Amino acid sequence: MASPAGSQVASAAAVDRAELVASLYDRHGDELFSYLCRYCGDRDVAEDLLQDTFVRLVREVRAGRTPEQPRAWLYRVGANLAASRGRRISALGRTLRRLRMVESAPSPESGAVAREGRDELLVALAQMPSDARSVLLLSAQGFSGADIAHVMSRSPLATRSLLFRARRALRKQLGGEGAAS
Amino acid sequence: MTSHERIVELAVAALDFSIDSDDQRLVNEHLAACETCRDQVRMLRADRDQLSAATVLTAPAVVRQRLLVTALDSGSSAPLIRRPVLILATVALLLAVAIAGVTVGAGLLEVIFDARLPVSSANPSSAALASAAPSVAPSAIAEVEWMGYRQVQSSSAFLRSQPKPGTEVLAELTGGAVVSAWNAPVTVEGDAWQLVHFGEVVGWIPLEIESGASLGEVVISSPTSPLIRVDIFPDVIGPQGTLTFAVADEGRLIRPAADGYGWTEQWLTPAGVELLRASAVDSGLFDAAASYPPRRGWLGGFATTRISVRGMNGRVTVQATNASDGQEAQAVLSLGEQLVELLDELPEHAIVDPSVPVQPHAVGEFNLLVGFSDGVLSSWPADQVAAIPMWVEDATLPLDEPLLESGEPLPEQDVRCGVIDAATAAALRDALWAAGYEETPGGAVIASFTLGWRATNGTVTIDIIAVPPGEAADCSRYGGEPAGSCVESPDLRALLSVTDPLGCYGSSELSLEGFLAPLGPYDPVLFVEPSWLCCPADELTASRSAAYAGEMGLWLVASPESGITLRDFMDTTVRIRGHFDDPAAGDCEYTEDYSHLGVVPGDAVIGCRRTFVATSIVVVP
Repeated sequence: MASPAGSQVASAAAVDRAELVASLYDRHGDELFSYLCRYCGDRDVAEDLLQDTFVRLVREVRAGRTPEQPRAWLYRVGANLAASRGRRISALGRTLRRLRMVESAPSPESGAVAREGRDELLVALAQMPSDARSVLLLSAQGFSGADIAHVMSRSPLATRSLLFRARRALRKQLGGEGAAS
Repeated sequence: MTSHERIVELAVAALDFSIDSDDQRLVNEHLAACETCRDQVRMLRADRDQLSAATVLTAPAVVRQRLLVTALDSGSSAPLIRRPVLILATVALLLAVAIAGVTVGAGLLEVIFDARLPVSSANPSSAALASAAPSVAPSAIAEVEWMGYRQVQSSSAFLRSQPKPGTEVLAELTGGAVVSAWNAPVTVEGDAWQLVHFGEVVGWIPLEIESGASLGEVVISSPTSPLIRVDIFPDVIGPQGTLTFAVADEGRLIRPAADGYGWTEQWLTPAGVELLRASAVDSGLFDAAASYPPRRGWLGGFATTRISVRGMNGRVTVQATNASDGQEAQAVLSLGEQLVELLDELPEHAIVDPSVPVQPHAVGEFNLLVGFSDGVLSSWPADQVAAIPMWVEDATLPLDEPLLESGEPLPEQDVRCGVIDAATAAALRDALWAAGYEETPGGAVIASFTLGWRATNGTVTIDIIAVPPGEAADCSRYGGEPAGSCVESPDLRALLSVTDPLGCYGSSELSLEGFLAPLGPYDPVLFVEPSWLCCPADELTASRSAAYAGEMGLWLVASPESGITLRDFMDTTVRIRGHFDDPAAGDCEYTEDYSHLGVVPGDAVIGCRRTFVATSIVVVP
């Protein structure tokens, strides 16, 4: 059994940990939640992903590996989790696409996302490949090109190219010209 | 890239990257003279600005609360909640610390639990509480402790924003409602108040009201309840033992752990907790059986319950607590029985070739989506369909096309679900469909299947109506022999529909044509060495449109000896030569001990052997 002294130290460490996580959640939670909502188009799923992202942060902090760039780290993990989920869903998509669904009254909590879903730009965004969606949203969230490259684990040059192609594709989705001919 | 494209690319790149002065000057000069490019840049910048201007959503406060509890827990496995016995021990310890005059924690916690949470904005400071009720002096610490579930014993109870009569009523709870209790009760002006969570709402309930106690212990439903049945499937299913089959209740109560394995118990219903603990005791092995909460979300309000079933050396449990009424509960239970029976049949579709030393795909993990209609079948609104490309391939889907009539036999291999007549719909909330996929122990998705239903006189019958491996996996032409070097290359689509391509094609060199697309930042659960065989980042899809529609492709890695960088060929149609069962796969090992996830070292080898290794690639003009 741990001694009270040892436990006291552990409690202080736990409080420090909680304080750190809380401050990071307060600082980045809203923007990351917005990013995840727009990435996956589902508020409930985004909440799951947000929590999972921060749970991983707790693990890292607990293991003494607090990320040096927490914002970029959170986005990278969140994007990874979202993409991983997307992979699994796509396996189902082949059959689900052809299924008939049922309409009933939407729940109140889905209202915000549904309202956004009517937004032409966000609908177009939802139809983009995951990489393109990620970089467009990261750019919109104010990340610099270098930061986006860091989050996406790509070179700045590759990221720049991806961003441009994504922007052009998005514009085409919106019905405008994507590039000069 | 034309000079115009180059200028537009540079101009837009300046939004995120710094470009040198020469390039900037070039851009300025060109844009000044080229109206077309100027318009292009303006539109692309406007899109970015519009995205940036989108409303920032507020991260859920309840997630913050959960994380704090997780962060405060000193356990190494990051449980999201503390079991009561640990909580009591912790409270006792903290009390001892407080008595010793060590105040570490309390002040910080007040900071941590800031005004973003309804509870904290209404929560008296620890100093105020201490003066009001010396017996709850450690409340600043205790308020983060989960004390278990409580049930509303009175006919109703108000959930208030502050521990004080007359304050804002956040919710009116009806008798029998189950709440999650946090903290020891707090006495304010002579009244004891309990801090509780009810769904997303956090507030205070007085412990004593005129009619007596407001909250009491949760009464665990007995297994004879129409909503709960226990141990109804004692048979062994699959090579890993029997299955635990659990259906989530009304949201947020059963979820998989963050790593996708095991349970997080804080969302379990009290009944579910007891059942699952009992199951664990019975089995001696508490493996994973998880479920997501039903999503009453933006898919047109369609209620889905995601069920993940994994093998377990325990007794089978079916818990139908998500049902909102008795009829639906019975439908869930009926569905559960039939699903388990059908899952038992699925291994028959596996390709088991004893001459190929590969573990046939076992009953791995099934993720089932089960939907329940309210009896009215129509369609998704077109705008929602358009917004869900991952799920709906074509926004022009003939949504008004009649479904099957009641009693009409289901066509074979048709994924359409039957439709019920009004009388049947009125009599029963029918299970509409279930679909799922299966993973190998190595982690590859190898089969997806769809279960449909038929409703006759109110009785729902579940059928497997599409199991791709059964219809498409034609390996018989190889006569059970391991594939040789002269094997004819399959079409990519045919390859993807084969249950066990490794069993079919062995290590033969195959030539495949398709569209190379990035998988995106893939987050593997299990890492292996050699690392180049781990974690594919690219996939070969049948076509560009297939990639964009989210269809499954062949996951690729490049052989180190080939010198290929797959990313150089991204977004192009290519012809790839390569093979499964690379010799290096035989030495694959997990980089960590994943035994707690139920995998064995040999699974790493299987996963690597199933990975397609590209040895050459050319662009198809």
